[in-house]
Amino acid sequence: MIVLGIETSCDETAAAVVNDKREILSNRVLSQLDDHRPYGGVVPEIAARAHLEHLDRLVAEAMDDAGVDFDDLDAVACTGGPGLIGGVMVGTMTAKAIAFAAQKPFMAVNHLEGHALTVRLTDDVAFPYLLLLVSGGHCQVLIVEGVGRYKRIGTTIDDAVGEAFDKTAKMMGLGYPGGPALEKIAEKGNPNRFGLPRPLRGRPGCDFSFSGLKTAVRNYMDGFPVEQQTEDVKADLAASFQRAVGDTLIDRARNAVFQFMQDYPAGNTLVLAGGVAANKYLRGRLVELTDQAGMKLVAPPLDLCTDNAAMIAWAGLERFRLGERDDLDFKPRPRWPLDPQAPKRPGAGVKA
Amino acid sequence: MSFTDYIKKMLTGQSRSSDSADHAASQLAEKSGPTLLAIDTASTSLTTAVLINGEVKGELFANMERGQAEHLMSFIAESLEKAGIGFDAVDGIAVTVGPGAFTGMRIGLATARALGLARKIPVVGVSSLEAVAYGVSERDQQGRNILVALDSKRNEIFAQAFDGKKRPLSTPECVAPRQALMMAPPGDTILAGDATPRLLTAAAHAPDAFYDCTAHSLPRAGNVALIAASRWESGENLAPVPMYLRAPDARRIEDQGPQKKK
Ligand SMILES: Nc1ncnc2c1ncn2[C@@H]1O[C@H](COP(=O)(O)OP(=O)(O)O)[C@@H](O)[C@H]1O
Ligand SMILES: [Mg+2]
Repeated sequence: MIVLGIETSCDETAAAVVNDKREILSNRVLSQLDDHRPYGGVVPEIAARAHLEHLDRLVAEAMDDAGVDFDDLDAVACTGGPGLIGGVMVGTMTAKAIAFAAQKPFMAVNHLEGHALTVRLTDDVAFPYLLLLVSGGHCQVLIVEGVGRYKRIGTTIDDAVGEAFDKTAKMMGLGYPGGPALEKIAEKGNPNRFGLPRPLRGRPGCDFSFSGLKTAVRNYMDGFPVEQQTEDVKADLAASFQRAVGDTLIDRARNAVFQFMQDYPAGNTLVLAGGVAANKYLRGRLVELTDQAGMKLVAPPLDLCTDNAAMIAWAGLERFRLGERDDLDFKPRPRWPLDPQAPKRPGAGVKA
Repeated sequence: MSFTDYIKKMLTGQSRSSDSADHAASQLAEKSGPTLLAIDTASTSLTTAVLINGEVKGELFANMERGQAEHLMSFIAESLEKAGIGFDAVDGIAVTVGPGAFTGMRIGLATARALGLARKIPVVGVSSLEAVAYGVSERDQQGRNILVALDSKRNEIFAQAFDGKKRPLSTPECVAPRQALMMAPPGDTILAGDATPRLLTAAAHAPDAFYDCTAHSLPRAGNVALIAASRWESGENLAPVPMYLRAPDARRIEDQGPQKKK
């Protein structure tokens, strides 16, 4: 069973081919980072233009790399949402057209389901598992019971973690994307120098909040005249920020693990996904937690943690082999919660 | 030919694959001109058509501001069915490249390019302005110049002037209606396109120089196919890239000023 996957929901244009032996036959990703850098964040119209410009070439390359023809495919999958609608449209229409021309089933995949199921491709993790999805656009805790069966037990009520890293880094003039830059200078900093809030710590539940933390950093920055905003100050502030994020994250994750253990006694895996999984400090903090809980922390390799099309192909494959199909009149969905039952959160937007 | 080679060829404009050339040759006896599937979603409409033996078949047209992404594939299937052919009989795809609504342009172009990729057949881009000009009848035009203007949902409009033989007199531009009026040489000018009312308002000072006409105010897929077929014969299959005519709205970091406090 071979599936082509297409991903265009944010600022990566990607195409990949996977099979049901859990092999990634090809995996092409084109980052648009350089296109967006001058604007300090992803500009939706620039992203949509770039997706259209490059996607068909990437699909062709992914097919070539995999050494398969369109006739060899069993299904064509794309991200159908959630995400920036201009990009999702490009990917969806490309997938529909290929499915139509090659007369193959079409699968519209929820981008978050792609992230959620990646560890089954990479590590063959069995259901159920606990998933911490932390990226630039998403921040939620889910119990993954099976394909298409997700229970959201926590979400951010304002910024996503990666977004908090990016905005904080931008305030400190560290460039874009801010996450990696902030982690780097935090290594040299003193995490105890600045007192910062730990939003929601000690409260029941697994929701997150990061915007107060960001504001507190801004207030410290504003308190220093420009000439005193030295590298040392920035490093200490970055380290203090990262420590505060870690404390909050662990506090919330602890509640999630506790609830998961209670409801799913057989479950023993915490899965970490999304671009923030790259952060070594946060990973370390989470390992401490899973060690204490007697659980395993599994995170896909980094290139499969951030946006990619192999995860979309794989999620499409998992749904396809359960007999699911989507129609060619599928309507791209800018918002598409994994768990439609979960209560809406004020301010959470697509991050819910 | 590998897919990568195919795409490279397509991007450099020499998009005729040898496969389809052979295919065309074998059918030459009974067939005149290529069999084309044409699609247009670049304006506030959705239209598809098939061209067989130089004749437009199965043309569909619907006014549609939203929903083109949902309906396009079933329009294509219906046009093919009405034309009595399967998709495997199609030699090439014709698609409007705008100017028009950015998302709409991308819906059509992404679809057309992927159809071409999957079947290894050429994709021909056609300007929306040209497609509207093409729809002006001889009777309306009577050898006069045409000024086509399409709505851009902003103050500016997309405009281009064509001569009595529908050859371009200007490049396509994104301009104010008053500026658009200057794109055609002085003299009687036919106006076409869905921004015609705005041109007429701007032309109030010269009511005798600018005339409305009965042509469709938006592209029709049949005309898109006919234009593509004329290019096809002359071998100049344009690489189908979007004609945006307007830069994305975005401010560089250095122009963003202090961060908003939230
Ligand atoms: N080392 C890191 N530390 C913290 N955040 C990081 C790190 N590396 C990447 N990120 C963050 O991950 C996000 C990008 O991940 P990705 O999965 O592509 O997110 P999305 O597609 O939702 O924007 C960015 O917000 C980036 O700052
Ligand atoms: Mg990303």
